[in-house]
Amino acid sequence: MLKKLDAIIHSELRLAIMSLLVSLENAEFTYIKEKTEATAGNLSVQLTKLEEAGYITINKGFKGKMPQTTCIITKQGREAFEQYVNDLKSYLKL
Amino acid sequence: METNEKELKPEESLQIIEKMIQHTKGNLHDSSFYFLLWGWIVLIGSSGQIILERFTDCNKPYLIWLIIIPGVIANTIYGIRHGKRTCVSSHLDRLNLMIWITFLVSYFIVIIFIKEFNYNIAPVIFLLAGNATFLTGIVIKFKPLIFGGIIFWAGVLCMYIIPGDFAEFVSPIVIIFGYLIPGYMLKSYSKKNA
Repeated sequence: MLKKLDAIIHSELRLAIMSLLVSLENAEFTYIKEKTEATAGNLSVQLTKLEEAGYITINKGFKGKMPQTTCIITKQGREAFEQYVNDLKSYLKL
Repeated sequence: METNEKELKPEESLQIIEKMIQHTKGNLHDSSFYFLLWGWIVLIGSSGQIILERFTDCNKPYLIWLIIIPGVIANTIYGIRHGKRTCVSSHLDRLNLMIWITFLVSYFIVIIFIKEFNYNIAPVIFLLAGNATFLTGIVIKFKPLIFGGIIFWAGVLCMYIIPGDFAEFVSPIVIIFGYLIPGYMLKSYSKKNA
């Protein structure tokens, strides 16, 4: 029987965020927004969901006088993403 | 990305993953500034010392190496400014940084024990610089830097094989072909792909 895909990751924008962060050391909010082509509001909501699940950490600070939000994938997030990809492979029979 | 809760098909998930990972490719930062800065400093230092020794009465030709001090300052200022502008950092960026930190740590250890090397540290430094240049070339998949690293290694061999007076000309040649030319090629490549 096929395993159910992780509901936290299995959404268009959250999957895109996780796919970006898994390949990077860290990424700023503006970078993720540009690459995912999401609106700032929607992106904030989805980042919070991922943070609440323990998949990413969000660091808020300042770059000069400008506020800066940096996102980093956690160990738990990386493992969840790997599991998601493995589950996806079984769905696609790869 | 419009909606956040759209039902995804597994095929669509795969496409999103591929697309996003593709976005992160080529994120590696342009490090040509450092190759050019240190290439020119070492070239001026090594050829300047030769000129001062051979064609002037200067009794402290090694003082030309004080040029390293403004180099360190320029390197630090650029590093801080560039770091502030950067909004993303890849694993390869970190690996690349670690390669050069390893070089710097080894460099300072050699400098501390310079007496033990009979003050002849050029081959050791070139060996370390060759390793770092070669590895950076591998990490960023940039062949001119890979060849640059090999030129450094070849330069070290030449320093021991070529007799006395000519050996000192190896350094400027190695710096030009191992550091500066690959550095300019990297700069041009980064501009084209910006």
